[in-house]
Amino acid sequence: MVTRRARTEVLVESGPALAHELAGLIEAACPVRVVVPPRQGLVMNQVRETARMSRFYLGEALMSECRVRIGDAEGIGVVLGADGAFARSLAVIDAAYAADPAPVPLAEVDERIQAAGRVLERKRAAAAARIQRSRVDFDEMGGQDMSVQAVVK
Amino acid sequence: MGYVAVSGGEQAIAASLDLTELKRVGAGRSIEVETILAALPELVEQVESEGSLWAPEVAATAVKQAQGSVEEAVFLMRAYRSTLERLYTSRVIDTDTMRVDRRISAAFKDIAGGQILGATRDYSHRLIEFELADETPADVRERAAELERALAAEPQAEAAAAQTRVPRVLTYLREIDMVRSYPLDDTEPVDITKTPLAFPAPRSVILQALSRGLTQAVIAIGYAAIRGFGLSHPTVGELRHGTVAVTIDAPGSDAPTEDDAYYLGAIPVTEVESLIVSDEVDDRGNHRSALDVGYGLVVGDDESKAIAMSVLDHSLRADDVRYPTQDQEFVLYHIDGVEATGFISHLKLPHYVTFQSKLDAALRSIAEPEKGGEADA
Repeated sequence: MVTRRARTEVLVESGPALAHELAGLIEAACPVRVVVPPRQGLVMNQVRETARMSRFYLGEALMSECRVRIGDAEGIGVVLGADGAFARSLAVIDAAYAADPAPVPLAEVDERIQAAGRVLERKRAAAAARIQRSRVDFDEMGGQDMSVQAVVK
Repeated sequence: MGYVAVSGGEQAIAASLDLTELKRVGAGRSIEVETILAALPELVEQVESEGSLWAPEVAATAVKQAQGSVEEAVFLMRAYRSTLERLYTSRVIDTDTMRVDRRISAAFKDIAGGQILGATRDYSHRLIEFELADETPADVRERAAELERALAAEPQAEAAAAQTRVPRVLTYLREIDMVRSYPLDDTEPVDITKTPLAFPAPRSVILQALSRGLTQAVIAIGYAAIRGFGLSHPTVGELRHGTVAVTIDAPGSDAPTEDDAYYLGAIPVTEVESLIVSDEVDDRGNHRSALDVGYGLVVGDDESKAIAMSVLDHSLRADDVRYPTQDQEFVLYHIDGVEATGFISHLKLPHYVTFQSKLDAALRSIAEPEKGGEADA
């Protein structure tokens, strides 16, 4: 099973359609109770700066949250933006991972998330390769070695 | 003379609001929020940066409602923000994990990971492309497909790119002790949205205020600091643009871990580490030249603002009022867009009583010149 950090990243970055589909599979197999209906709020982003290594607040972001239960297991769905339905589906999937015993479709859900993760990685690699096209090649200019490594030596 | 309540303006105000709305709709054209997001992303990001709220659809709607006025759109964003509950504070974002799509150094030609220009106008001709006036959505789609084909990479290049990590220029300078290393400082940041400004301001306040400051004010004051009204002349050690992940700890967890965190999404940021030659005093009291680092981090794409922020970060550490650019009160009080435009804007509101009092005093000083000083008293 993937970690929650990795799983939620794949689900959020893959967009709501996948989450709705997987939540639908889970809800068809077990009852889901909404504890906190979808709502909008803010998350304050805190950052570590690299000059003095201290922390500061960069500013807030709009987010949506929903909390549900499958049996005694609580699931939380959180996502940037105003999409309560997306947050609800994320909460259902999160609850399914926390539920004991695990709902029947969980193995399929996990497999689908891992597959979506591979698609996401391929997309990111393609985007990164495109960006690398704009990498400067100084090789032909010759002259003095002005690299940071040369200075270190 | 006391305050006198007046009425009678309601009808005029209602008509004025109607006239404002007519200005928006009068031409019979409407622009979709999605179009604003797609076509004017940097305008939307500026509104989010100064509004201190990452919410692209809301910011684009604010731009539409404000008829393109950044000042008004930022005001709308700040007002909207105040209606929402803060549900979470994120885990500390480590910008080392940024998904970088542009990074350059003005200090070194060759840097590990390379100079990656990414999308930039730095090398473009600043000539108006008049053919854009007749561009259609079909033209846009065709051009996008053409560019995607031109920029497509080989699968091997994709695999290599996926593994690429870009170490910081600062790391090397810290290795040779030209830039001082600091231990992690986990002092809880002060939040200027909850705590009034007080001076000297803690570092967290300075950085938060600069980051959400009025873009052109931050740039102008940063420029002044470099030009001679301050002591900071920076070299951009590294400038990075990319996205950073926003994550939160699992609520109620006693020992939260990264693996157990929730990922909410990613926001685009521009980060700058400026290097400024400075005099350092070591433990034995010896002076030596070293490089100090000015730090800038802004939401969105605005590199000028991020660089100016890094200049002012360094400048304000001096907190020396001989130069306005080093005076925390001067800089931090005046760069907030809503504070500045709000105060300037209030000058349009009725000041009948105070003005008449001033006028009365001035008239009396003319009528009784020998008692002019007393009229002011």
